[in-house]
This record gives sequence, C-alpha cells and structure tokens, in this order.
Amino acid sequence: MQDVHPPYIKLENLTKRYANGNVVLDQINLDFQKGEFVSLIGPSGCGKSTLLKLISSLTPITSGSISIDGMQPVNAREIMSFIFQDATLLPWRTVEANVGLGLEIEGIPKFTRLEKVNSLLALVGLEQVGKKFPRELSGGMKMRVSIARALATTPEILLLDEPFAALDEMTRDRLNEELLRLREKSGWTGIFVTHSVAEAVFLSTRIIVLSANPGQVAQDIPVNFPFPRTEELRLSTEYEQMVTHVSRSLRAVQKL
Amino acid sequence: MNKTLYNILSGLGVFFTVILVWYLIIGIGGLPRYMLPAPLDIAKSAIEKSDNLLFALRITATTAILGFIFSLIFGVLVAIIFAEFPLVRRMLYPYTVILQSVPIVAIAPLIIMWVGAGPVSVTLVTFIVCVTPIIANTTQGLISVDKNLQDLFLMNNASRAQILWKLRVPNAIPSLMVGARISAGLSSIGAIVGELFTGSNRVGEGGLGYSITYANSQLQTDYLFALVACSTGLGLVLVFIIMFFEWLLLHNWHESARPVDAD
Repeated sequence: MQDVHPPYIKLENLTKRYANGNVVLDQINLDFQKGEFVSLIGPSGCGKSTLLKLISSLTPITSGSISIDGMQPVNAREIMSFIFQDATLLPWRTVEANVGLGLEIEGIPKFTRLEKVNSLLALVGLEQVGKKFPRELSGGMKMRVSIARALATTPEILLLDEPFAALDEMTRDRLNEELLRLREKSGWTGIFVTHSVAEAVFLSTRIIVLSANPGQVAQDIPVNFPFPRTEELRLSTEYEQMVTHVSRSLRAVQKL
Repeated sequence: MNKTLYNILSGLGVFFTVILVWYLIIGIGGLPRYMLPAPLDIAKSAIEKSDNLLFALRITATTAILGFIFSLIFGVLVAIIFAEFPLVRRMLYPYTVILQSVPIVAIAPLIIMWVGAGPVSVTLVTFIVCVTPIIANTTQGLISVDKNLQDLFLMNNASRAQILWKLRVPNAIPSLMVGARISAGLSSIGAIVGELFTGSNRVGEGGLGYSITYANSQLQTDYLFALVACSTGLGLVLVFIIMFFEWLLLHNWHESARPVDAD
C-alpha cells in the first residue's frame, strides 16, 4: 500500500562534505512515507545528526537533493519541528513562554497562544509548572517542555536528535512511551536519531542503520510490532529478538 | 545565620583594628594633623562642612550618573551594531579595546581644552571611562548564543529582528550587567578625575574632585580625607544600585543571581 503514495520525504544522492574535505554522508538515497517513525542509528561519525540538520536545512547540502512533501527543506520548516539533544529552553522564559515561543514568532495573539500552551502542558503532564523557570525543573521535565514546545506549532514532521540521551533509563523509558502516545494523538511523521538500539526498536516502524566514514545506508529494517505499544512489548521475546538483530547489524557496521 | 554574624563581626573587627592602628601611628609617630588627621577629626570636619560636602557630592553624583547613563545607552547601541554586523565589529572592535587602554588622566586635560571646562566635559570624561566595559561585555553576550538556540529560532522561521530581541538581547543581559557594574564603579572615578582638571566657576565650590584639589592646596587634610571617604561612598552606592537592578532582572532565572551559600 505504501507504494501507491509518492514518498513524503525523498533524499536523492544526498552528499555532505565539510569544508575540510571530510565526507560525512555519501550518496544517501532514502524515502520516508507519511506517518512513519524512522530511527537512524549508527556509530558516531556516521552523520546521523547531520542528516537531520540537512532535512531541516540547518546546514547546506553539498550535492544531491531533499524534497519534503514536494518542497525544498528550507520552505518545509513550517511543517517541521526539531527536538534537540538538550532541552534547549530559554532560561529567562517561564515554561509557558518557552512552549509558546514558536506560536509567538508566528505572531499568534497571546490569548489563543495561552490556550494552546495550556492544553499542551496538560498533554505532557506539566500543567502545574507553567509559571516556573527551566532551572527549577528536572532533566526529564525539561525534555517534556521541549517536546511540548515542538508540538505547539502542530508539526507534520518531528525531527528528534538524541533527545533522551542525557536522561536516566527510567525517565527515558517513560518518555518513550509518552512520545508514542503523543504520536498516536497527532500523527506526525518522526525521524529519530539515537544511540540506543532498545529505544529505536521500541519507538520505530523502521530502523535505518548507517555506516561511518563515509556515512552510508547499511541496513533498512522494518519493525512491525503493532501500536499501541506499551511497556509489555519490552518484555516480549519478539522484542528481544529484534533488539538482538539490530544490535548485530550495528556491530557489523562498526567492524568495517 | 551564625555564618552571617561571624562575617559581620570579622568585618567590624578589621575596621576597629585599622582605627586603632591609625591612632597608634599618630600617637607614636607624632605626625602633625595636616599629614595624617585622626579619624575623629575627619568626622568632625565632615560634619562642620557638611553643606559644602553635600554640595560637592551632588555635583559629582549628577555628572557620574549622567555619564554612566549615556555610556549605557550608547554602549548597548554600539554592541547591537557590532553583533548584527560582524564586518563593522571586526573593523572597530580593536579600537574600543585601545580606547580602554588610554589613560584617562592623560587625555582629560585635552578633552577639557577641546570642549571647555564645565559639567559637559566632566560628563564626557565619565562617559569615555564607562563606555568600553559596556560595549565589550554586551557585545560578548549578544554574540555568544548557544548554537542549538539559534537553530531553534531558525526552525521557527524567526526574523532577524525576532532573533535579536527574543534571543540575543535577553542572552546578553547577564554580561551587560557585569559591564554596567564595572562602569558604575568607574563612573565616580571618571567624574572626579574630570573635576580635578576643570576647576570651578567659584572659588571653593565644585564637585568632589575639585574640592579635593582645593582642600589639598589649603592643607585641610581632614576635610580632604572626608572628601575621599565621600567619593568612595559614592562609587559604592552606584555599584550597589546596579547590583540591585542585576538582582531584579536576573534572580528568577540566572545562576549568578541565585543566593550563594558561602562556605
């Protein structure tokens, strides 16, 4: 059925070379369908974060092309949100004002903004801390604020650059479940960069393993567990087998 | 709490020891009063001449504050231009550093010669002393913005003006306040140095700087000491005012303004 639709995001012969001549990504060809949740995994230096920066047009393409719903990346920013590795909140703004930042930049009036912000804070379970400043929050709470901020502009595509890397495992697992719940509600397409195989398997509909030096697509693994996925999935044999499978692919790539 | 009490007591201890040593020097050394007046004489002369003292203080405080405010406005504007136009920054920034290294004592007479003696030239000297710390610190704060935060604004299609006002300027406030604190301390020094050279329209009446030279020439050393104490007090008060604003602006969110448990 996926073949009927033209790809939602299309990367063609995408190459990124730094000024010092290092080729980070070499001739990447990838298609993403609408509604997919794709994890990018690979050894450090494979350019998985760079790939996100190229899709969001935060770094220029050396050669090749990216098309997002028929648009150039820079024009597609309106339908994309980026979630960074750190929560990257503005320390001088309250939680509320941080979540409302994107709407504020769009010029949406304060009243409408506040309504939206409050519903999002409720969605990520932070309705109590709207008036607090980021420094008063724990790491996990900050990341929730960051997620709420990204969702405030109702994106169709969410780009996540190792958002949970700095969190402890318990918080990470809970946020993983929450992320899936949020995705079910609003149905965005996700591209997720991670170091954690378990996390990638739990979240994704598809895992792309990248090799390093230069970054190339090594494996493209579908993950077909049904949604909604809950904690129980983590305990199942199929899940274990999938984690093992992906880990092996990753190790094979790292040997090269 | 005990720690606070201890800090206050040790501070007072140093103060009284200095006073004691002072009297010992006068007593043992047998110094004449015009060389080193006793603390009590200084206080007495300050009270006797409190009208003159307050008059001088008011003049100096006014020029110091005016010079400081001008330097704050001008310095922030220059910093914004430096931050928005890297080419201008690369061309002109080195000169602001050079300006900071020019000894103000050496150029104050020149400025007075060019502008004419009076409050305008004193304010100008104060301005020159105050402006470089504000330019340097504010520029630094405006340009050292976290890369991810910049990307965040780009992803939201923020305009250049939005990036300036919603990201760069708030990001620069802590370092702006550091610059302002340095400049506030310098502003009274700048005003006094300016006054040392401008003299006064009427003999014996002028700012603290003028009064210091006048008291010195009259060998009123006790009054001279009172003037110096008053100048120091002025500088401290200005710094404290800025520290209050710093607290007001930053205590909600910035690490520097959080109460520090001294240990």
